[in-house]
Amino acid sequence: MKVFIAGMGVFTASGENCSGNLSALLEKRHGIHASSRDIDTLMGDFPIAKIAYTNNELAAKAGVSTSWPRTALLGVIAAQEATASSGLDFTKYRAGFISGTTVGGMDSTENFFYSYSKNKTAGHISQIINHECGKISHLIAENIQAKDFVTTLNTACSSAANAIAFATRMIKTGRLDIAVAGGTDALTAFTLNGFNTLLLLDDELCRPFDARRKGLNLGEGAGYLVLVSEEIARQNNCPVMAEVSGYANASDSFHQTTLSDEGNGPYLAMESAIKMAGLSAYDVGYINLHGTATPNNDLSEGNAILRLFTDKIPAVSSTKSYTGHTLGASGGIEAVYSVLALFNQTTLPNLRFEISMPGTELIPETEARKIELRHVLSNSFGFGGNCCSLLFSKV
Amino acid sequence: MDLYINGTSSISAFDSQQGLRFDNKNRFICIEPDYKLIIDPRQLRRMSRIMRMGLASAIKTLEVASVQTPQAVITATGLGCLDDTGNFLVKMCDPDNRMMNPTAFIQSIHNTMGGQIAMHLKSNCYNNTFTQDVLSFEHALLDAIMLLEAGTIESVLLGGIDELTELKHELTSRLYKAQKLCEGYFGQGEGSAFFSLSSVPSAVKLEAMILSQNSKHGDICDYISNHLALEKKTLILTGKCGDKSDEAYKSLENIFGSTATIDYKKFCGDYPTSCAFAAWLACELLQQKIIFDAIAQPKHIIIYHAYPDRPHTLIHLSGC
Amino acid sequence: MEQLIYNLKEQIIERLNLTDTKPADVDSDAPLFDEGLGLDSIDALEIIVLLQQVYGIKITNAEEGKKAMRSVKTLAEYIIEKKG
Repeated sequence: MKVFIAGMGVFTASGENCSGNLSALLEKRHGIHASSRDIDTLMGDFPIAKIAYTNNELAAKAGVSTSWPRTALLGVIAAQEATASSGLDFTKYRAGFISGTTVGGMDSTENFFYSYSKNKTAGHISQIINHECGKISHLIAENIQAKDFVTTLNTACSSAANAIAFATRMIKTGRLDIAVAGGTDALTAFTLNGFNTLLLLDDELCRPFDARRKGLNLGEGAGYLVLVSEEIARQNNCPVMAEVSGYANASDSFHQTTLSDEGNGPYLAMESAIKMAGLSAYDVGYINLHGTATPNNDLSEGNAILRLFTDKIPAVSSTKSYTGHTLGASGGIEAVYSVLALFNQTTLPNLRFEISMPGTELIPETEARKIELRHVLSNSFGFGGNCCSLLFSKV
Repeated sequence: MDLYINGTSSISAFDSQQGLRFDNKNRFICIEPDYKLIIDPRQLRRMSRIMRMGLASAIKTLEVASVQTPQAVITATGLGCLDDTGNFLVKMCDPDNRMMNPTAFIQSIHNTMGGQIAMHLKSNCYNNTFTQDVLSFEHALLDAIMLLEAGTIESVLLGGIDELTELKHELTSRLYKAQKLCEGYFGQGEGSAFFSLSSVPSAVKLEAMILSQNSKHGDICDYISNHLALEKKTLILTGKCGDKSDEAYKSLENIFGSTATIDYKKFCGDYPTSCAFAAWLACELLQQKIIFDAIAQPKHIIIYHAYPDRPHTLIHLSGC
Repeated sequence: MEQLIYNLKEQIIERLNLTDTKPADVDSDAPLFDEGLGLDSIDALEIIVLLQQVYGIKITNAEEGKKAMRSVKTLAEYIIEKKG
């Protein structure tokens, strides 16, 4: 059974919806304008891709309670867009919500801890009731009426990609008719300080796949796909944007926070996703890279691409140069971007690339270029060596 | 496709020899093994308790099942690595002494155990981590079932892990008090239970797993009454916590009739992935490694969870 | 210098959770990584962050960092040099 994409929604610092994000990509406008100090005044000054709205503004936009954690607020806005664009009435079908997130309700939890650390009896306990990652999905699922199956994956930065793969399998095995799948993560002091202690933050705008890359910029946002079975798409005359033709997960099994230099996990994930679709590496026209701009990730991913595609490297680019690294949401946001590239038959430019990485000589796309695309790959790799690749095909 | 559990191992507050570890604050605390006998001491140095519990029970499970490298590692955790998360948070929120360290952040992520297990096995296998509150373990099991039924792989290592920390205990107690839920409550718990699943017949068979959709649990009612009409040697393990949330079980209790029933959280306490403990206990009972007075030799065990506003779940295991 | 070396040993033991090690067990001249205490890349990160948080010293050059972290003694010398 084929699984189709019948709707999409995306919300990042570079655009509020699909069309806003697409025009930002085509016009090379990034969203990395804020500073880490806007979130944590005690931190050093690092660029971040923060969405300009406050939680209250987001809640008003989404029509939900202001008590929701930011991760849920960002997620529900993207999920509402995805749901509306599909035109489907979820209540008529077995509809599920499958989401990736790494921080859950951490922004609200932090507010609690700022009070609690001064006085053990202080802090409103209600600030931690939505801490769990699963609570975020539950809130969003109820709002968009995708309640028949709700689950959350947390495999660090590959969470949303794994959510899309899992949702596709739920439909393929006949367990769901419709699944809204992707991910959401808000910027928090926790993740900013965490990546800072790992010395992975660039104090300038990040340069994915460039020889001089120094690290990543963190970002926030959400991206969701509405996945439907072939039959539901036909019955409803859905505006099908693409097919989820392949997906694969592999462990790199090298180190808790770094990938192997040769990129074993990334190689296996890409290879298996292509194989599942019955294609060869030569059929892939564009890869939306994981491309975090850390020295380690880009080298490992680059080496894996060289090994897999050898003499015919497809167009590649990292759109984290626009959105920053949105962690658990990145696989969802970049799935939407990949489908936008496929649907509009265009490459997406990689910002701030000038010099290729020694040893790989890979040159990412730096302009939006019209190109004939049939199959597009989206890569997401996370801590714990968790690697996931998704393949989208033109219908 | 028929699926079987060919190995299992658990770390919990309950030990058939040592009894129950229940402290004076109403907490079920894990009886932990000497990890140095299971895990390389150099690796142990950095590991938090939840990582030790997870990796140790994963290694033991594979030993029992005689599986060298499973083709998938799937973990479930409701709250993840609370100790490392809490450490980092507390230091971060103390403006005078911001000594956050990278290790705590690295190990705060929910898939830390899954990644550690893959690294320990030096395996490039499928690896996923589910976190959906009290449903986390059932969802991980669903993933395992789908992978095995697809026929592309033959063995899955599956586990459910949660840890209880001082901070979690303190904050959850405050939360329960605020929600007036605490009366009769068995107590908070923790644990790690792992399973090796395969389609090759062995001692315990996975007869069924049902997740009700939303709050419609007719499927589960029908399944239990049909089964009980045929099979008398059945034991039911319920996930009751002792407090007023147990009212959710009322709708099905008349179906149980005189069937032997045990509230398993009296042995492990209440925690998000306690269902994994229940499944481990069921495997032990079906193989007569543990014997309870309520029913000496159960042939079937049904693990049933009911929640006020969540889907109900059922896992049915049988002895072969 | 001696006091600094002793403090460093204590701080490293605590940070890196070297539970069975006492400051006196650590040879000031022995290599910290691979041999000696057998530390790895995550430990290196911990030590870099320790230098930042406790001594206000930021290692920006990887080569320089490697040299400084060869042994407890080189680390102490590095701190004295940077703090002047």
